[in-house]
Amino acid sequence: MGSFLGIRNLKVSFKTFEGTKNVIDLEALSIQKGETFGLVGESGAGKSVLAYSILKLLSSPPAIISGDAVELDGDNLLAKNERDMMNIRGRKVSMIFQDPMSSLNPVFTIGDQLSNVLRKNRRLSGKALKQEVEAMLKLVQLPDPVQSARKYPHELSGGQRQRVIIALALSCDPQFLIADEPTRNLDVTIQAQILKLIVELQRKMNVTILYIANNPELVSSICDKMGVLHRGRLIEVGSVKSVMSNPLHPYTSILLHTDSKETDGTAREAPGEVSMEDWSQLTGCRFVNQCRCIVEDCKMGIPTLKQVADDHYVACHYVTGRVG
Amino acid sequence: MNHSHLLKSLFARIREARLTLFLLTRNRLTLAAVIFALILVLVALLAPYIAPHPNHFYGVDSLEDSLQPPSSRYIFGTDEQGRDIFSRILYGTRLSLVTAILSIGLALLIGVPLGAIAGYSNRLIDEIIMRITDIFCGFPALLLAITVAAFLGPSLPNAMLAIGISWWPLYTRLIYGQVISLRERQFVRAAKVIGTHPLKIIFGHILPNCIAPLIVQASLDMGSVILVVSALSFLGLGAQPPTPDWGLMISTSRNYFLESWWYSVFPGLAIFVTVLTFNLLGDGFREVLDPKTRNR
Repeated sequence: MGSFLGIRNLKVSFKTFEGTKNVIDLEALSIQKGETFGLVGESGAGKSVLAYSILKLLSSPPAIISGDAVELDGDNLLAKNERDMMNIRGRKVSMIFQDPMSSLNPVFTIGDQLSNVLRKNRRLSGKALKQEVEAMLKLVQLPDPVQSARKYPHELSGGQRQRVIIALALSCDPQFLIADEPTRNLDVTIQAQILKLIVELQRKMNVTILYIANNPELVSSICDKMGVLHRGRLIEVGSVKSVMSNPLHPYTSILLHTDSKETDGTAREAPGEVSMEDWSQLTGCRFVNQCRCIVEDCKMGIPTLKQVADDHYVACHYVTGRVG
Repeated sequence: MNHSHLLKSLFARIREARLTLFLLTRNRLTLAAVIFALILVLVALLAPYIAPHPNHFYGVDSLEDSLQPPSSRYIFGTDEQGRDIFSRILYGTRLSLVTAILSIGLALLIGVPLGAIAGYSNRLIDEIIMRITDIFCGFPALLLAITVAAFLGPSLPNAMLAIGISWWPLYTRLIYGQVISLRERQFVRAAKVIGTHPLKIIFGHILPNCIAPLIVQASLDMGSVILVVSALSFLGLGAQPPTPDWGLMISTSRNYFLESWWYSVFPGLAIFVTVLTFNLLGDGFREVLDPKTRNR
């Protein structure tokens, strides 16, 4: 279909001492052009690994990537070699990382780092380059762009650094932006500012965004569609409205409902044992040993994404058994 | 507007330089090392102008003055050919510093790119480079330098070449370790994400972060390299007579050692002071450049 990013049957595994472990087993994911897609899931679900595998940034070994297709704007990235990827990274896809503290090179001023990117990707030089650097810093609402361009990363606060990183990511004029929990280490007020900034920029520059977070509320506030990743599998996808108001998968409902009801804040994790050892070896649903609504099929077969409503898909034997 | 910015950044630069100077000079030993290093550099630059007998650097002047003890005319005495030892030591400073800098420069030129490439490359290239480095490291540096110098033929330029060839593995290992720890940092990944060429990542993003340990190591090595140059010259594999090299002077002085103590003692002292200066300077640099020891 006309999807901008289309993933079909992506499998990512890691070779470890204890054998090969599957981390991502994604049957389908598609993001339309200009859309903001939110990906939620608990830590360790494989959100960042998914982001890295789209960009082919995982070193293999130990990572083993296989699957049918990771299509970006019609190109299958899985078939590209490193040289082609180098051209795609930055030009088409760009990424904002979790940790604003370490994503900037400590020995160069932010102006230098920005000009490097602009010189390479937009072939600017001299006065035009300088003006563009300041324009970019102004765009991300950094105070006093002229002065800020001369500063080193350690002279900026976390929120300011994250703005610089966003400026860096956008200065390549990407069509697709992966934001990997860009507000993770920021306090709430700054978080809100950064989110607002991302939404504004998305409107202004019409980029497609894959927004990764572990907070569903945060995703619902800025995204059009959302997907829930659980132990490497996409278990529920749909429009934000539909998923938030009517979570169907038992895991999603736990993820959503524990938040506001529980006061200690730790209840975001699903109840039951969270054992990392062998869930990648499970033949059936990966939520089976924590789920309250087990039916016969759960231990036997892997649930696949089934459409349950207009723009709402879920991968759960219990739900689809009830509906169909 | 623009002027005030320029001024501001200029003041910031000056403040930073003053801070570095303050930190360098806070420790008395380091202060002494800085002063001595400056004196050494000045002496090396001005040797022909400040030496009391500039014509004694190479040539034979007055054989009747041979092996004179220190006096007001020759404050460090004279050698067997009647040359002023003080003047020759002054000129030897220039030779020693230039030799040391060039040797280390050569070692850096070989060692740093190799270490950086090995640290950033895949397993195969890494293994090849680092195992070759290990082979070189397994040899005592002096022995290797002697072998290479003997093979190339004795002369000061060849001694430099020999030292450069035997010294690079140290820098390869240093940079290799640094690169391995830096390449997993987020900013390297960020550079990769925006499509930066690997070579550009190595030399433009990672290496600039390795400069501090390199400065420390190189300034510490200045002393050791001066020792090795002297040793090579002493063994007849470095500077050849009548070059006023410190090691060579000590080597010649062995024949007159018992009667003329000044002949061997003063060049020896020159080596001692120079090596000590650079060792202390290296320690000082380490203290200043490592933020962890900065505030102690």
